[in-house]
Amino acid sequence: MNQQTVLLDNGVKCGKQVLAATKRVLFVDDEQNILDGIRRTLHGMRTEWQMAFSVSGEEALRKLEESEFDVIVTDMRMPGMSGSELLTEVLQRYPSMVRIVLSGTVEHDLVLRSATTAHQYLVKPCDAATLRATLDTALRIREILISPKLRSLVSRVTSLPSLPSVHAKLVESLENPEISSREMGEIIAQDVGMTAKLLQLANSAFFGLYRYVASPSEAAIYLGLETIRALTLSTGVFSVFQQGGVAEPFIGELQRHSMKVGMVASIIAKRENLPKKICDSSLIGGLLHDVGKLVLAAHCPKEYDEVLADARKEGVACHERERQVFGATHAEIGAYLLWLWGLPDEMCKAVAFHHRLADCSETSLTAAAVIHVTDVLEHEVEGAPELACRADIDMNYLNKTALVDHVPEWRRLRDEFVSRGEQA
Amino acid sequence: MKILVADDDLVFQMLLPQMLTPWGYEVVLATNGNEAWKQVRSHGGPRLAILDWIMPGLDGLEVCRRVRAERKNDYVYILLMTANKKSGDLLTVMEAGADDYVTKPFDPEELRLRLRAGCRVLESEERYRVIAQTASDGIVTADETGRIQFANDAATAIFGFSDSELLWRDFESLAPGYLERFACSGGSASSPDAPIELVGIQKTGREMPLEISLSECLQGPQNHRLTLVIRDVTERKRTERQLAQSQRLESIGQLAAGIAHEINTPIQYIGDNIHFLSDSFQGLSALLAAYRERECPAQTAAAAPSLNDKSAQLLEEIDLEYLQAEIPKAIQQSLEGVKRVAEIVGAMKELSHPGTAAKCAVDLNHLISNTILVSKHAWKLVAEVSTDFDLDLPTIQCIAGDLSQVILNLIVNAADAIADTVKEKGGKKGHIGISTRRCGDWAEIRVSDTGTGIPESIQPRIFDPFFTTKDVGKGTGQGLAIAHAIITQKHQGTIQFETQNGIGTTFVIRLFIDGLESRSAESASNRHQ
Repeated sequence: MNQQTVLLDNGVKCGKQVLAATKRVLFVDDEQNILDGIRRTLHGMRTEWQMAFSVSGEEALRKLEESEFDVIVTDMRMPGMSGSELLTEVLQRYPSMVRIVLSGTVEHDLVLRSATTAHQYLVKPCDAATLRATLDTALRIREILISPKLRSLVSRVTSLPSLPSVHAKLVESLENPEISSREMGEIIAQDVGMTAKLLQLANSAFFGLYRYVASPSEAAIYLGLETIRALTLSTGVFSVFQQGGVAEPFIGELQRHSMKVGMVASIIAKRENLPKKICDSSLIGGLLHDVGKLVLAAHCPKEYDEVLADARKEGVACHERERQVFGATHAEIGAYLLWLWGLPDEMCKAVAFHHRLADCSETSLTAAAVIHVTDVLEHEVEGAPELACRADIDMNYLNKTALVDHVPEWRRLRDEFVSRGEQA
Repeated sequence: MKILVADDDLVFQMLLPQMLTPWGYEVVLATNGNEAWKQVRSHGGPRLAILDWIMPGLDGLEVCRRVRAERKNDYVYILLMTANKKSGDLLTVMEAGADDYVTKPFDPEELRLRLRAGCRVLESEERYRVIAQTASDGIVTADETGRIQFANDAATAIFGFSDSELLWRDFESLAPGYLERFACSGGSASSPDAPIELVGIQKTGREMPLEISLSECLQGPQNHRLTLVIRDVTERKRTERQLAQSQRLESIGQLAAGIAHEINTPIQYIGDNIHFLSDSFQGLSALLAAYRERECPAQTAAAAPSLNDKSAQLLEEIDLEYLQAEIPKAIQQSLEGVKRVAEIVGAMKELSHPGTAAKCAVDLNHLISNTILVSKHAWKLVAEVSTDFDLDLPTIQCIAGDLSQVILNLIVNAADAIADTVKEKGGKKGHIGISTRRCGDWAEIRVSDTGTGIPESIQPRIFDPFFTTKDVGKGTGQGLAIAHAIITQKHQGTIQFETQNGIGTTFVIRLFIDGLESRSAESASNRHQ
């Protein structure tokens, strides 16, 4: 790979061809004072970001016609065009833009209405540091995915396909008056797409959590039954994978594989006595590590089918073939999506680097490394041909971290998990 | 049917049963007046009686008088018999309370027909008695002085007295002030269907809300009788209170969401501005320090050029021109924001002031301004609000929280009505106008909107509880019903509306300035005009 590497926050390197041109952000709010306040508080960023301000959705669309923007931050309740109408337009006309809501509304249904069009949800009053950090991440993650075409593709994703069986189980559970939100979280945790979507909402500022929500059942408890019910029943938040499609066996295989990687990764992380944050990221990062494959399979089904077939035929790992065809792997595509959706940084990084430990400058065991190892270990026993995943453990990295001799123990943990699964 | 035959003459004691039994009567014999009186008083005793006038002990006339005096609830039909006919007998007999009268010797056929007439009277009596007894409302009849002559089971249940305890009791002691109230409500004869509400007292002394309707009927020159239909409305009052409470919570709940939003907006820019001021101050401090250092170089003059560079660099870094332009604006806008929050919080505090059910002097203009402010969230996207206040309007005695709720409901409805038209008019905002003025002894509030207007078909129903045209979940249909109750019942005012399809609606509220209960003809119930 003839790419330069630049640092993407604390010590994690990533591939990047050109330094992006000035980053442009458009703010929309019907209250001039709000726009003035934001302009002033972000004045210090003026050399790095170009900022524009519009007092209405209509004016914002005119500005977007005149020049290009990377991020839009909009209010929800505005006279004339509402924030969610504006974001729907932006999603259609400028799909690669990052769409962020900054609203003072406390009405749940208004927020749920934009659950498919907004990537992230900030609430007023939002402190300057949060706003700046959110924008910073939104503008930086472009460096993860250089191709504008791919960025549009991922940015357009409003939901990820779920297995019909899991989705049906969730809908069915709504009928059960006795069910707890924890139990619903457990159903959601069986599905990669729904887990990602649930964590997107639970980690959004709107639901007032202001904390790192790592597990689906935790997320379900915080959001509450009513919100999950509304999410399940509103169109487009959780979507079902087309049954009987060519890729269906692939999706099924992928879901099973993801579940196992998540479980085993968290077992290994715990055995290694890693901090709780890394254990959580290993579990959820493991569950979501192949979310990029889901994006590709759902949104470029034909190309991706060919990629998988070629990889199987040529006997190469699918992520290598992905890079040749799309210019990026499912790891970057998945991580870009999770970052866009505002999932915790640790998790996104774990997903981004699970095939590229060499690009991590760290010498300790990261969630990315745990997932990488678990992924490879799982493939050793699964031999799931659908996934066309062949890779070896990155021994260089393990040498660096001096953990090579732990591998047999990890393998044992995996076998233990597998046999427990078979018994059950 | 049981029939009592009271006669001391052996011939008649034999003759009458022989005649009566084939006609279908069950004969009960009494040989003197005392016995007859005992029979009539006994439980389930005969309701039809043939009494001989002259008897040992009590005579027929005396039995007759006693029956009329004591037996009120079960009517006894009395036929008196006399042996000789004298002028004036009829008068004496009828005065004693007898229903009919025959002279001995009598024609059996005539007796049969006269008894049949008596049976018809008893049947009719029985029919109405059953209706009265089974009615779920209390029914009481009283004489012209208000003494109870009849009370049905429901009435005894309401007041907790037994049937006999109620008899002859003055109704005034059960529902104090009822006669004045009826006299005030415009005369019971003219509108017997307009019930009044007042407090009743049970045997135990417990008070309860009653709804009473009264009709008077004249029965002859002196017999002036009152019929009162009484309903215990404790349960209904409780439900009404709960309903009013839930509507209040509903409007406060909607308000709370809006107010949170209205407060979040200024807080957002105040925070941003302060953050900016803090950054600016750091920059300015650094610049000042650099200048000071340049003015009084610490030791060596050689450092001077570098100090010049340093301050020039800082000057550029902090963008002094920008700061000079923006800092005053940031301060001014922040102060504006603080004022806005303070206003909203202040208005909210007044509006939601809990538990004041008592009337106090209220400045209507101020109350309306506050209500407009706290409801801003509901109208600001769809309408402009303008006010036209009569600044000389005196204060009104009213329940401030309740009146705010009425104004709030009207504003929210106006905004909803306008919202329906805004899309059609290409997003152009509508208008809500609120005015106050004085009309004689009345203060008038007008709330007008440029909304859709109220379709004729639903105009008569808009004040009905649970009537709503809003989507499920948006309104419970209580807003106008509560507004109507608050204005007409709690404040004895009027609320009316004028509406034109496609042009808009104006609600007109009138409140009596003294805040006393007004009896003006206007206040009756001309609700729909």
